[in-house]
Amino acid sequence: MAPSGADASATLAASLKANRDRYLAVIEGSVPTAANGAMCTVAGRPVADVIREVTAGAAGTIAVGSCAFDGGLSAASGGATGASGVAPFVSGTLVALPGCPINAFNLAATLVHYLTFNELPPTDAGGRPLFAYGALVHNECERRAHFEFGEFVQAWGDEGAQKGWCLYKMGCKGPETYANCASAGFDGGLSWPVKAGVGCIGCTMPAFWDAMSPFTRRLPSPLPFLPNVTADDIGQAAVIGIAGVAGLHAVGSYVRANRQGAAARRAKAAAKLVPSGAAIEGAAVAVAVAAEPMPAAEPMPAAEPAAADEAPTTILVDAVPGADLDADAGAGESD
Amino acid sequence: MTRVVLDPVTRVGGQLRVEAEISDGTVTDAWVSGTSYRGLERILEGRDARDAWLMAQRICGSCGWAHALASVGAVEQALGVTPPTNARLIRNLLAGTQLVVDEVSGFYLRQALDWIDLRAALTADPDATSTLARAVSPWPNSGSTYFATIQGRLAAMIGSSQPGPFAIPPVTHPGYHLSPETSLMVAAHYFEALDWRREVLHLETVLGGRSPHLQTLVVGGLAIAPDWGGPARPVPGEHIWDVVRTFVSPLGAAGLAAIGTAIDSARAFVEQVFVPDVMTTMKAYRDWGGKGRGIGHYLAFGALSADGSEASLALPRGRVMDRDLTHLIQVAESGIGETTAHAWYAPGSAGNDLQHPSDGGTEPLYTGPKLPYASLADADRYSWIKAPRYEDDPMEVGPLARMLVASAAGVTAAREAVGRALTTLNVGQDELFGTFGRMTMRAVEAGLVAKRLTGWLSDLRDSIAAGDLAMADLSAWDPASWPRDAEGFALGESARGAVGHWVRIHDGRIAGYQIVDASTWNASPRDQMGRRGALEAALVGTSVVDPGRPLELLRTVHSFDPCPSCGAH
Repeated sequence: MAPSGADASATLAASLKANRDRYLAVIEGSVPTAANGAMCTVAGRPVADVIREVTAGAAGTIAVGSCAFDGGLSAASGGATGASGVAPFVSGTLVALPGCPINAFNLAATLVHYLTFNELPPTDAGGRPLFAYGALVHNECERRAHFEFGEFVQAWGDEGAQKGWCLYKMGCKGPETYANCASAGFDGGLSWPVKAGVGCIGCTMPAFWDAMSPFTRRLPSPLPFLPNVTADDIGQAAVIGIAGVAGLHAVGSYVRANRQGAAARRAKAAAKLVPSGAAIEGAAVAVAVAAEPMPAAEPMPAAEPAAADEAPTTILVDAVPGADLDADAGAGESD
Repeated sequence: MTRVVLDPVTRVGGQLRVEAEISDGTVTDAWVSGTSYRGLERILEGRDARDAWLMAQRICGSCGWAHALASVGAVEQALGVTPPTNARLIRNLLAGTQLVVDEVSGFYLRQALDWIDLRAALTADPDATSTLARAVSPWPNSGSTYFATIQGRLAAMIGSSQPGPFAIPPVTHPGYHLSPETSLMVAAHYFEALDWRREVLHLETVLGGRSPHLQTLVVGGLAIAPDWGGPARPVPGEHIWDVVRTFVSPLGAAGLAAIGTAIDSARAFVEQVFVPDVMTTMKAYRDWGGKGRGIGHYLAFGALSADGSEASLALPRGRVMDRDLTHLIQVAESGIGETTAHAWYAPGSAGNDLQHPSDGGTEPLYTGPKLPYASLADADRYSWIKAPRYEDDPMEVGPLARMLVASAAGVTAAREAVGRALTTLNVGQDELFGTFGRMTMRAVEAGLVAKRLTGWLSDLRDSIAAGDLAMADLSAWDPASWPRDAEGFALGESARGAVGHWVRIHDGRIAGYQIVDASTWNASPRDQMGRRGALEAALVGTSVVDPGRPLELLRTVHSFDPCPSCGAH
C-alpha cells in the first residue's frame, strides 16, 4: 500500500473495522515461534499477533503457499526459527493452498467458489480444497502413458527426455503428490514442471522439503503408490468402491465417446478420490473460472451444489463437460 | 531532536524497519533493520548438493531466479562442470528477462507511489493526459477515454473502504510536485505493468515449468531437452492415455515462439512505457539530484556472460570508489567479508571481525528488546541482516552501481545510454550519485538488457538448428564421481544488486552454505567499526518537511528496492 509505518497500520486497522466479517484474509509465509516471535515482527510486534488480529474479523482465511500451510522451508530440518503454518493463529474457517509456489489458478478458483456459494470450498482433513488437492499428479500426468509402457528418461537430455518420456526414474514425485498441476497447469495452463521436462518435487505435500528430497533421486517410499499395481487396477478399484459399477460404465462410455484426455482424467480422478458429493463443487469452481470469458447466459449445470443423496454417477457426468472446457484459457484471467 | 520510526515499511520484500533521528528538519542518524529471519543457510546443510539451488531459490519470489543461478553456479564451480552453450543462452534469457521484469515491477509497484500523486491524478484532465502520453511515447494505449476509465477506476478504489495498494492519507504531502496528468499516466501504466509482467513471465513458465521458482535447472545445465528430431511418434489410439501421448518441448517451435513473443513484449514495454514514464516523472524531481547520496562506493559482481567468462559479462564486474568514474577497480571474491557485530547472531570464529563467507556461519541469537518494542536504535544489535563489507568498506549495489561500473569499464552501450539519459533529464553526472540516480539508472539498465534478449534467442535457435542438442554437462552428475571435499562460489546479479553464494560439499552433501544478497549489502546495519550500511548512510542528511509523514525517507529507502527477507534469509 502507499502509506508506510504508522499510516500503514492505521489503514489496515480502518479497513479491518470497516469490513468486519465481510472480508477474506489471505496469508502467506510461515510464523516463526522461536525467540518469542522476534524472528518476524511488524511494528515491533510478533507477526502472530497481526495474524490473530486480521483473522479475528475475517469471514474466512486462506493460507497461501507451503510456508503458510505447514511452515514450509523454514520448518524443514535444520531450521532454527520454530516455524509453523498459520493454522494455530487463525480463528474461524481456514482453507490451505499449499504449493511452492502456489498455483494462482487455485487461489482464484477458491475465491470464485466463495463468491458463488458464499462459502469456502470443501476440503480434506488438512484444510486443502478437494478440487485442487484431491487427485494424484501421477494419475493426471500427460507423460503417464510412458510410465505404463516402461518408457523412462534415464539421464537428462537422453533420447527419452527428447521424446518426453516418464520422469519417474529422475526422481519425479508425481506418484506421491496430490495436486492439480497436470490438469490446471501454471500461468494460464501454459506449462508445469513435468511438461517442461523435470520431475515433480511434491511441493504441495506436508513437510515436502524433507519428505520428498533428494528431489532428483528415486527412493523407496512408504507413500500410497504401489509399483506392482497398474493405474487401471487402482483406478477401477477406487471407482467401483465409490461410484459403483454403473458409475464406471458412465465414465468409460463418456471417455470413449469423447476421447478427451483431460476430461477423462479429471472425471476419473474426481470419481476415485473424492468421497462425497460435496467435492464435486470443486469441479464446478473450475467451471466457473474457465467459463468467465463466456457469455453470462451460458448455463452451467455443474455449478449447482449437488444434493447429498444424488447419485454420484449423475454428478460425475454433469461435472465432466465443465472440465472439458478449455480451463487453461480461463486460468490466465485469474493470475 | 525527533525520532521517527517507519515500521512496517511497505512496498518492500519482507519486514523492514527504519528509525531516524531528525534535528532541525534534517536526518542526523539512521538505523535500518531487517526484522525477519528464516534460517535458509542452515537448512541447506546436510542435503544433496544437487538440490541446493531449489532451496536457495526460495529466498525470494521476485529475485529467486538470481539466487537459483548463483546457487547452481556455486555447486558447478565446486564440481568443475561448465554448462554448454545452449544452457548458457537459456540461463541468460531467464536472467535477462527477469532482471527487466523486476526493474519494471520495482518502479511501478514499489517506488512510483512515492513520486506520483494519486490525489492529483483524480483531478487530471484525460485529454491533456492523452496529449502528454502521445508526446512522450508511441505506446498505443493513450486515448483520453482510456485515461478517463483509469481515472474512474482509481477514484472508485480510493473512495472505497478497500483501497488496496492505493490507500492514501487524507491530505497530499507537499513533497509531491508532479503534474496531475503525469500522475494519471503513470498510474495507468501501474495497472498495465501487472498484465505485462504476467505475459513476459510466460518465458519462465515455458522454460522453467512455472513462475516464480523455475524447476528445470540441473547442476551442469538444464533438464529441458530440445524437440525429438527422430522417427515420427506413435499414432494415438490403442490406449486411453495415448490421446495425450504427444510431447511438445519447451524448445519446439511453439515454445520458441512463445519465448519470442515474451521478449518482444518485454522490450516494447520497457522502451515505450517504462523508460518514458521514469524520465517524465524524474524530470519533475530534478531537485532530488544529489540527494540521498550515501557512501559513494559502488560494487557490481556482473551478470549475463556471453561465453561464461568474466571478460564477456554484458554487465561487467568491478568497483567504483568515492564516486570516481575514471578508475574501475577490480573485484576479487576474496575481498568480501561479513560481520555480525550489530546483528542478532552469535559471533563466529572471527568474533566480530569480518569473516569470508566460505568459512562463515549463521547462528541466530536474538538479543534485542523484549516484544513489543518501541525502538531498536538504542540496542547494540538491531537487525537480522549481517553487514557485508568489501575490504572493510561498505558498498552500494544495484542498477545504479552496475551502470556506474559499466561506464567506468568503458562499455560503449552503457556510456551512451547513461549520456542520453543525462541529456533527456537535463542534469549533470554528479546528480546521479544518489536517489535520483537509483531511480533513473534502473530504467536505463532495463533498456540496455531488453535489447540483448533477442540476440540470445536467435543464437539459441541457430545452435539447435545446427544440431547441437546438448543442454547439460553431466560429467559430475553422479555424486560417486565427486571429490570427498569441494568448495565453490558464484557471483551474480539480481535486479536489486550483487548476489553471491558459497558452498562447501563433503561426501556429496552440503557441509556449509552462505548467501550474501543484494539487500544484505544495501540494508546492512553498522559493522564492527560502527560504519553505517549503504541505505543508512544515504538517509543521513535528508531534509524532512513533516517528521510525522517522512515521505523523503521513503523515496530514498525505495530507491534501493530493498528486500530485507532476502537480505537476512
